[in-house]
Amino acid sequence: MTGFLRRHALLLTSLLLLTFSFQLMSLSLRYPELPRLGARIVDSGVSPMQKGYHEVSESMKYMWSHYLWLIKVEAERNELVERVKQLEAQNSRLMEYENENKRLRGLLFFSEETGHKGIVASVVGRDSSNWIKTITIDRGSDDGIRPGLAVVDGNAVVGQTTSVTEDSAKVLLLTDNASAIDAIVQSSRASGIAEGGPEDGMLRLRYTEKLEQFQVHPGDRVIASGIDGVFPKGALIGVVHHVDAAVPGLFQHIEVRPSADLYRLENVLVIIPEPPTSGAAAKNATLLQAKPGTDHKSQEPGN
Amino acid sequence: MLRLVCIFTLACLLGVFLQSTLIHGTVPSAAAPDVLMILVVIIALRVRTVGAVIGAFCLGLISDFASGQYVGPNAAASVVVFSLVGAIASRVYADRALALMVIVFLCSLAKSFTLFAIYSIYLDRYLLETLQYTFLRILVLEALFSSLVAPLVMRLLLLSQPFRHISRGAGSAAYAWSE
Repeated sequence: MTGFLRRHALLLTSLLLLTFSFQLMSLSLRYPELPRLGARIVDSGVSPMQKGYHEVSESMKYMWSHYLWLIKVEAERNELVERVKQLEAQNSRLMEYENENKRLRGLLFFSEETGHKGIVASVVGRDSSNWIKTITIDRGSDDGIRPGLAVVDGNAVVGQTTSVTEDSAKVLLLTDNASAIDAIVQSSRASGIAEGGPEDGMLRLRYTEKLEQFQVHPGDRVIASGIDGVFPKGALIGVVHHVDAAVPGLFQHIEVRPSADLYRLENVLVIIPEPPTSGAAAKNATLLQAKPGTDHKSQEPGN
Repeated sequence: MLRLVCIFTLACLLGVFLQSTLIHGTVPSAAAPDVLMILVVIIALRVRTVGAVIGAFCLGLISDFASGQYVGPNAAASVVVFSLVGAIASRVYADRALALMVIVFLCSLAKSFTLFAIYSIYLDRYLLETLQYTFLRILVLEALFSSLVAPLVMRLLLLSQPFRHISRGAGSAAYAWSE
């Protein structure tokens, strides 16, 4: 017996580990806290490195665009040209500040307009696998962030926080297969569930009935209904890209393009919900609905 | 032993860190090279012990934890990849970069198929339908990127003293890479 075990130790261990993996998968589906706990443990080790990398890469970018570039100019040994280049560098820096200012203003717009309090966070990492769509932000429970909070970019929905460590948090993007947001089409008020779609970077609006009053057209804006208690009513999810009402069944087939540019996120706003006060929610909803022409980009000052 | 565990843990964290920052930041496509899977292949080529298969399992588990969604699929896929490579390791001449690239390419496909098979056992029809598109989109790209990166990872690993020591102990021709 011992000889058999010793001879086939590798095979037996592999089988044992495979069985254990399947057990873990079952457990993680039954207890969603388990993967979150694991994510917290790994994040506590990885997020300091991610932050370090973020800072170093930002400094490198800054160095490259402002100093090394100028060294090349100095090599030309023309005082006048050098002066022009210096001014251009200064201008570029100011433009960078301006862009940053615009981005942050865009994030704060939502907070100011709706009265929701939020925390601005920087995106420091993306998911390590190609199967799950998450990002890591540099704010955590020390800043008041907890799982299940809405994350927006301007007024555009980005996703919601899932696992949180003291100084970082994971955000499940709205395009992930596991994401589902209760939504309504702004023009027809047709309701549905915006879920991560099969196409990369697209959403699918499901369970929208084929009734005449619920006609949906490409270009219609899809907003959060607020019913799920996570996303504030009126937060922009995306714009209808394709509608097929001829599919068999009770519901329309609707594809939605998210308004947030999920591949180029740098800063996001995590919304911290306030305890409900009388009429506040209604006021917020009215403020957002009163701006039918606004979208994520047009909210930025200067646009 | 403790030193080896510490080095391994650090390597795992470094792998996840690289995967989540540099690699996904550099490759702006839906698929990116899977460094942790490459590590599993290299370990399986060099060291075929019970400790090594547990190490491969841990690499997969850390990948699962880093995603924070499901625990187990990557761990199982890593064990499958380890077993596949372990089964053929003595019959292939893996000292050439091209051979390693081919093995990594095939292992990446095997890993994706294993992941999809596990998901199809556990997840509901809609989630599976959406994952099916992800699977088709990343299947070849991930394998291609991983196979291109694999020789570089191997060279970097050979710079590390503990890995050279382990490779020498396993009687492999790892030195052919470093020469």
